[in-house]
Order: sequence, then C-alpha cells, then structure tokens
Amino acid sequence: MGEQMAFRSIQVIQEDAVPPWVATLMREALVIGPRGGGNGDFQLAPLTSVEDLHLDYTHDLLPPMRYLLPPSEVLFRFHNGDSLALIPEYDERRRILFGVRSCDVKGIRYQGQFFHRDFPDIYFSKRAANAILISLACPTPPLPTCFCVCCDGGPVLKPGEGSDIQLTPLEGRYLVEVDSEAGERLVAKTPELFREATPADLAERNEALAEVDQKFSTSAYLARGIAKVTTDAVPAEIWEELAERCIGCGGCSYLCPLCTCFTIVDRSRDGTAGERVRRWDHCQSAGFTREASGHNPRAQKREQFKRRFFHKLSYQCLQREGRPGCVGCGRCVTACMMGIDMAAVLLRFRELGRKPKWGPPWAAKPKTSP
Amino acid sequence: MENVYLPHLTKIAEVRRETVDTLTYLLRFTQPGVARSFTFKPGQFVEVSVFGVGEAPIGFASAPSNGDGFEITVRALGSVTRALHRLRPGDWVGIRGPYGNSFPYETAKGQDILMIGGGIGLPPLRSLIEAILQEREAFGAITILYGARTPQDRVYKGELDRWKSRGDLLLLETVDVGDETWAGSVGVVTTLLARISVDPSRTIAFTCGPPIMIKFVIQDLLKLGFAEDRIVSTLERYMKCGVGKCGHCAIGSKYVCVDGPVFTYKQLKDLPEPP
Amino acid sequence: MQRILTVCPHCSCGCGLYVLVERGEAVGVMPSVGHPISQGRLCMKGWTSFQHLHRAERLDSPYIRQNGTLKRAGWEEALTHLVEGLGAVRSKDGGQAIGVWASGRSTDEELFLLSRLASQGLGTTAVRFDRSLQSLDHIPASLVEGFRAAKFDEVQAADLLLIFGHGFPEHHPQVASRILKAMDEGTSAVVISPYRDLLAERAVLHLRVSSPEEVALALTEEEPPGHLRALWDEAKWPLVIYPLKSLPPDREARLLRAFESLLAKASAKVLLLFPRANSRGAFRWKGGGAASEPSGLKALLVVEEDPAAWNGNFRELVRGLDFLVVQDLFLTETAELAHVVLPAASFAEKGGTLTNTEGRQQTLRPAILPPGDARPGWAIAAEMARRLGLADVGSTLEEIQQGLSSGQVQAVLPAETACESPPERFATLEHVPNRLGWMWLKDTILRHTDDWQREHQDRWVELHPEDVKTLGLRPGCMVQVAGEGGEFQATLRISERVGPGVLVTPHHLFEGPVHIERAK
Repeated sequence: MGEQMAFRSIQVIQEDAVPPWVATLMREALVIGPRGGGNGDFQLAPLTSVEDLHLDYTHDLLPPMRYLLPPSEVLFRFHNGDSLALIPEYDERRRILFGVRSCDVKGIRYQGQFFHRDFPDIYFSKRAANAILISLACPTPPLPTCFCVCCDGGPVLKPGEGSDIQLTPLEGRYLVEVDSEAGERLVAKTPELFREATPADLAERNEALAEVDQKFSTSAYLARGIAKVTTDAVPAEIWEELAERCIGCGGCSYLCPLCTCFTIVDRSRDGTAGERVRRWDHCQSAGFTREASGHNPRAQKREQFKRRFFHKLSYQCLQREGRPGCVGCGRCVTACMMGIDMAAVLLRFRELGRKPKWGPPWAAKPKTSP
Repeated sequence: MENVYLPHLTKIAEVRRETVDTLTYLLRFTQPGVARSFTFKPGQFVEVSVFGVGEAPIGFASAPSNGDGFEITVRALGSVTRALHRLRPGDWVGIRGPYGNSFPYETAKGQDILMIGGGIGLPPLRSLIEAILQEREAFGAITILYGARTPQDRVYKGELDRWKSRGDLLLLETVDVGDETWAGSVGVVTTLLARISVDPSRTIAFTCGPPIMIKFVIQDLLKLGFAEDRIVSTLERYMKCGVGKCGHCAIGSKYVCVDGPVFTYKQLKDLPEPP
Repeated sequence: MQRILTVCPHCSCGCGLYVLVERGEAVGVMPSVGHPISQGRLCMKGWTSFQHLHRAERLDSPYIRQNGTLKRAGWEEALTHLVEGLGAVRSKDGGQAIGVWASGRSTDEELFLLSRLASQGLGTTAVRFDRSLQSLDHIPASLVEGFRAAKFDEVQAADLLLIFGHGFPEHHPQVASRILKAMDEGTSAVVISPYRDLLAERAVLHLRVSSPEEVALALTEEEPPGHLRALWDEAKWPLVIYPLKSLPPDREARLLRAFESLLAKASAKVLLLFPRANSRGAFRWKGGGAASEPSGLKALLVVEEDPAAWNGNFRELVRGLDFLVVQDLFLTETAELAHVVLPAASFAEKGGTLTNTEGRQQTLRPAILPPGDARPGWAIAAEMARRLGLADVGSTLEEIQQGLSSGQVQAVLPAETACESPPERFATLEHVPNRLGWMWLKDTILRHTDDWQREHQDRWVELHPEDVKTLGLRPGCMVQVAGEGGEFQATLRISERVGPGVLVTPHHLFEGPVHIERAK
C-alpha cells in the first residue's frame, strides 16, 4: 500500500568523526549512549562526556525502551487540603538514544503502537515524542544469546521501521541512513562530518549483511512456536515440565523490550498526601491475576507460564499487535536462572514428539549409575 | 491528549446500607463540566479511587439517564473497598471511566428479557433493569430471577419490592438459606428457572453473580434451548488500569476491561483460559 | 536514570545489582551481567529489593516512649535516653543482663562496632548476630575457609553433587541454578532430603530420609555398601552442598562433623550455604552465644531484627524487658514495644561491606538518601559506641573500616545451654523446616515489599496422603499447627513430595517437633 519507503538520505561518517558528532548532539539534548558500567557491564546511559562513549558494545541488559517506560514512575501526586489537588508528573526531557540495537527499535515501535491504542498513554507518549532514536545495526551478532534473525527482530532495519537514523558499521566508518526529519536535522548540524554514500559503501554493507543468518548460533525460529501455541498443540505435561523450573523472578518480563505489564500502587502516610505510582509487573508472579476475593483464575504455575508464551507467540496476539511478541534480543536467555527462556522453549517445541537430546534444559533424568 | 490515569473528582452525596458488608454510594462530580458530559451504558464500570489506598473496578448500579451523578454498590472485600466503606458523605472519591463494553441494549429491543442475578451480581443488572424500565415499551416480556445466600444478603431490598409490585414484569426471588422473616422460596437461583416459561428463540438472557452460579445458570439455559450468543454474562477479572494496558485482566488476546467485561457465552467458550 | 552498583540485601549468594535512580528516587533494580554471582540474573527477592525503600511508613525520626506512647524525638535526646536506660539496667543487674542482637543483614562494619560496643561499652557477651545462626561454634572453620570450601563456580566442575537438603530455588537461587545447569549437562547428583523437590526428581538417587546426618555418617564408614557408596567411591571431584540451619544445632553439628570426615577423600569439597546476606560476616565476628539464655536479659538492643514477630516466646521475652532499644527501617512488632526507636538507613542508602557465603567481601554503595533523619547503621553504632565510652571509634566509614581490619575483637562465648525437651503432646510428627516461599513472610523487608506480599497470601503446610488419612484430615481443610514457639492456622495441602510421618512447616516459627490437628 503506497510507494516503497526509502531512506531520506544515505551518508557515511568516519569512525573518528563520531565523537565530535556526539559532542554536538550532547549540546542538543540528553544523549543516552553506550558506555561501560561496573563489572564490565555495558549500559545505554546518559553520557556526561564524549569520552564515555563506547561504540564497541554488545547491548544493555536493561532495554532502552525503559527510558520511555521506566521501571517505576509517579503518575500523580495528591494533596488533600481545602480541596483535593491531583498533580500529574510528566517527563518531557529531550533525549537522544544513541546506539540502540535494531531489535530494541522494533521493541520501541511495538510499545508505541500498544500504548497508543484505545486509550493513549500520555506518559509514554510524552517521553516517546521527545526521544530521537539513532540505531546501530548488527552485521554480526553482538552476543551469542542473540537470535533476532529467528524473530523478524533484526539485525538491520528497513525504512519506516522506527529509527530516526540507522548506523551500520563498515570498515573504519559507519553507513548513515537517515529516516526522519529529526534525523536529518541532527546530521545537518555538522555536515562537514558526513559525506554521501557511494555504491561501494552500499556494496560493503550488503556483503556484510548477506550471510548474517549463518553468524547466529541460536536457531530458535518462531514459526513453529507460533503454530504450536496458536493451536494449543503443546501438551500440558510439557508446560508443567517447563513451568516447574520457573522461580517467578520476573527477569524475563522486566528485561523484555516488548513486555509492557505494570501495576499501580498508592503511597501515602495517612491519606492526606501521597502519590500514585506505576511500577513494572510480570505475569509469572503467582498473584498477578488474584482478585480481591482471593480467587485466582490463573493459580497454577503452568498456566502462568503458558500465558506468557501465548501472549508472545499466538497468532491471535500477533494480529492484535502487528508482530510477534519477541524480537530475539536474548535478554531473557541471560536473565533466566533455570534455563526456560524464549529460545529454550522454542527449541523444546521443536523437540516435541522426538526423544529429547542431551544437554538442553529439558533433558531427561541423567542415566543411573551401574 | 487526555490523561486516562488521572481520576475525576466526585464527592459522596449519599450512602445507603444494603447488607452487613455492602453499601450503595451516590457519587456526584464536583466539576460541572464533567457532571454534564459524563455518560455511560449499563454493563460498564469505573475505577474507583480512595486516594492513598488505591483503585477498585466497580460496575455502574444506576441507570444512565439520571444525570444527577450515578450509583455504585460496593462490597467490602479488599483493601480499597474496605477503605471506601470508612468514607462518609462529603468525602472525596476519584472516578476514572466509564470503561468496558456494555450490555447489548439496542439489539435487545423488541426481545424478551430474562435476567438472573446472584448476590452481589445484581448491581450491574440493576443498571440495565432501570434503563430498560425507562423504555419499557421497547422490550418484550421481562423476567427477573434473583437469588441471595440469606434474606439479609439481598441487595436493593427496596427496589426488589418496587419491581415486584409493578405489573409489567415478573420477579421471582429465592434464598439459599431462609430464616423466620422469609416467606419466599428457598433454594439456589436455578430452581427458579423451572417456574418460568420463556421462548429461547426470542429471549436474551443476562446473568451476573458468583462464578459458580453463572456456570450452573448457563448450563440450565443451554438445556432450555438458548443459543450461545443469546446468553450474556460478565467476566470477573482483576482489573487494574481499566484501559487495556497493565495486562492483569488479559485473557487470550482480549482484555476484559476493553473487550469486556460483558461477553456472550459463545465468546466465553472461545477463550483459551477458563473464566 | 543512574545506576549504582551494589549488593542484594537478602540471601547469602550476594548478587551484584544496580539500583536504578531517577531524580533521587530508587525506581527499580537490575542485575549486573559481569558480576560473578549474578551473571545477569536475580531472583524475585532481588528484583523487588527496591520496593520497600520509598514506602510511606519508613521511619524517618527517632522515637522515645513517653507516658506509654512513642513520641518523635531528636537524635540527641534519643541517644541520651538510650545511654541512660542501658546504664540503669547495667547498674542494677550487671552488663550481662543486656543483650545485643543484630541481623543477618548487618554489614561487617556494623557487626564490628556492635561487638565492641557490647563487650567494651556494655560489658556483655550476650550477643547474637543473625538469629538464624544461634550458635556458630559447631561450624568447623575447615568447612568454611580454606581451599576445601567450594565457590559457586565449582558446582559445574564437580562430577558428583551430594545435596543435603531442599528448597534451594527459594533460599539460594543462584546455587539452585548452577546445580540444575550441572544436572542438565550430565553431572550426577544425589539428593538427601525428606522432600522430593525439583532437584530430587532429577537426581540419580534421592534418599528420602529425615535424618541426613545419619546418611552422611554412614558414608564416612566403610560399611554399608550401596548405591551412594558406589557413586561416592567412583567420583573424582565430589562436592557436598548443605544449607546451614536446615537442622537443629545438635544434629547439624553431627552432619558437619561427618562432612569433615568426608573430606578425607582427597579431592572432595564442601559448599556450606549461610542463610542471610551477611551471615558469613557474622560468622567471622563469632557473635553467637547460646541464644544468650533469653530469660536472663533485662535490656536488649535490637538492630534490624524483629524477634517479637518470630514467635510467642520471644514476644513474651521482649514484653518483659526493662529497657528495649530498636533500630530499624519500619515500626516492626518489636519496635512497637520499644522504649527508644532509632530510624535506620536501608541497604541502598549506606556504604559498608557484606560477605557472601563464599567469603567474597562486597561493597554496598549508597544510591539514594535515607528518609528524613534516618541514618546508616554503622553511623548509629559508632555514635552509640562513643557515648558508651569508646573514644577511638572512627567517625567516617573509611576510618571504621580501617579499624576493622586492624583490630581484633575477642568475643567470649558462654557455654551452651541445653534445650528443654518439649512436652509429650508435641511429639507427633517429625518436623521438617519448610524452606518454601511463605516462610519469609516475617522478614522485615519482605513484609514491606508489595510483590512479595501478593505472592504469598496463603499459609499452607504439606502432609503425605497416608498421614492425612491417619490423622483424619482432609486436603484443603484448615489445620492448627502448634509448636514450641506458638500456634498458627494454615491450609492443608496433600503432597507426595514429603514422606510419611513428616510435616513441612515454616521453620522460623518453631524450634522442635510440632503437633497438627484440624482447626476448630
């Protein structure tokens, strides 16, 4: 429908010109870019100086969408004096999220659609409206846990997929694909740092991405998972076997770029003043669906576990949200203590009907000693 | 863009006791603009705020056309409803809504109406009954069956008598356990079905109440020959945000707060998780 | 959003986590990927560890009891009153009548200062650090320090895991994770526990016994042969894993002695799991004395613990004191009975070190300011110590840490007092500590963590189907469970994970056998 979208312009910036460009960006807005943390962790966090920038990074375990939907935020404060005053708190700080991976851009897009539907979420909207995304494509997977190629989650974005500027690393330079007016303005600030891309640049990019599938070690393709979950073809014993291992930590949900669930709580000492706070929540918690009466329609762990995968993989939800609920970022693979992350579960589905092999988390009991 | 998480302010105008743990509140918006423009349909609900404690989803219990505020009937069950019960006329109550879908009102016109309520399931039905009674000629025969645990647990005792004394509808009541004040039937509400005569092909059946009651009512209605899309019920779920975002009420690919809470039995059957 | 790297305050795994801070408020936490313990993972307790920080009920000022009620007071007034009160008890009943009880979360610096404060400032050895380790004497140092004491990453390297106990996913999730991974990759495991849990089901051998110490002792002898002996003999790098405080002290002592003997096998190692975030630190300070014969105490300084919430005996003890000082984050059940209440900073509001069960000393970093007048525990302890006459206590954390590494505190440990044998009527079923989720309900932090409270609303106990029949009970019915510390009601669940004759209950409520009957 409509014409094929194209990038507004395709340019090139040399590697050593990136820090000066970022320095100009830092005068524009808060730049949230890749930097080191403790213990060798990488973070996409506010840069205080260009020296903080660490472009050779993997990913931030905390997905960048958490700058648009924070782990907790005050919705409003209330004050009961002569009259009751409700004062909402909005965050309209301008942010440039620099170095966001393709999977995370897709996640942010998904979140934007979700929060805009039916009853638009003003808190998310204001943050999203003030955020510019400069993404970083992945010719090679940053981590062995990545499986975006299995999920339409990357590793590179097409025009119109939500990035304002897409950077793709080439030899000594980056391809710069500008995809919005806001992106254009940011490039136009320092035109001397950019040049037009040549066919040779594009050829190098195409070659780098041509065999990208082969470079991913995980082959947890979504398609079979979608089919099995949509048709409820996964036996209850398998859900039981997987869910038994779940300790309900919530890590998979907190760290998923597409997970949106939250709870709302009031904080007040004596009811005359206080705040209403929204905080991240997750469906693997036993109390997620418990009602005031104490009745819990989803009391069994295997039902809770099944719910997560229905929400992410079923065709019904895919239709509603416009894409499957997983971009293959691999964060749940890192976060899960018990080896029942998305990739493990998809691979388990693949084994349905076959004898499980050794090694993977679902393996049968070890052979007994003589 | 409206802030859907920011409640409108109402004050409690009246409080009426229904049973030992259930109160009916008349709430009035304090902002004239909101008071004028606020409308809702039977079957919908609001998120009721007790500031400092939290919110609870409660269905409308009065007819939409009142114009002078609206009523909710609340049983003290969790922290919010218990805190609500400690409030007095003049106290603030936050309201967000109306949310949810509504009972199929227009499509029910010209049809016979059968309503089966149990205990605290009567309030949303009351909203529907009062609306229907305001347009009585638009509907066919009206039959209301109501069951409570004991005579003390009947809500809207006054309305029940008023409805019974009208000549243009049939209201039968029963209690699970009687007492010396009770001269009426004793038995579960499904026993009342045997005493009425309905034509399933031109009747819409609405039922609200405890999940176990709904289960048996639906079974009996199907046995009577009701089509699956002529049986209308409400689905109970923990609804936090009311706007289809927080995920707590999600079931399958539906959100009870947006796609429900009113569902036909046909829709309930298709849900991937049991109601 | 800033991220401040610190340590989880809950169990002794000691996960590295970041507190996420936005405009001075802790809005969340996330695990550190590069941290050797967390490796990008946290359990539910870790993930929710920020939720209690901004609760409106946080204590933000000291309180003094005046005319029967607690009234707000300033620090000067509260500390003066505290010193007077403790001094009065000391004059009348002697220093030994004053107890100092600290918590499994107290930092190394806090424990160091409290030890000094107790012995030099108050003249008492009635010191108890980490109530879950009442007595620490029976834990041999060879099993905790030195190269035979394993680290977490050695779980993967073992070729045989001997797991004495259950409930690892709830209490030491990082260890459970590593055990499960090892099992998935083919490591043989033997589980010796009365409860058939996730790990037991996957084990090569599950010895469902209530006396694991007998199994361990049998293994140290040449006889009898059997499956376990065969596995043990065949193994080149066996690893014994045991969570401390799963057994009463005398039985645990026997088990640990058996472990010492098992170390005669050259390459065998042991991984003892301390219960709380700084239990291992408390072990170093040997703060334990035989529960300091509680009935002899007339005054108590309680630091971030809630003994009145544990069980009825302690509640009576606390009520009967002449002077009680409580330092905590919230007005706990014990604090409500106090004469002086001091507001403390949380783990995210102070510096200090915690030692995880491996002996790894890790740094706490403050991420946010404490509310109102609340102060870090080390600062409170230092000020109390100064006012009790210790002139050389440092005034900054650095100074205190220097004093810690240079000074040695000799705690004199009084002799153990034997437990009274419980009355006959309680000796109905073998009581096995329930190391499952809702046991943590009395923990002060978790009581104020919304998500935790939401998870564990049902109190339940488990019985084998045979016992349910014998005792004339019905699954799902309410039962009354009574033990030495008190009674409670719970829903009865039927389970074949327990063996016959065994009742699974929350262990922190009881110290001994329990009796169960249908609730009236």
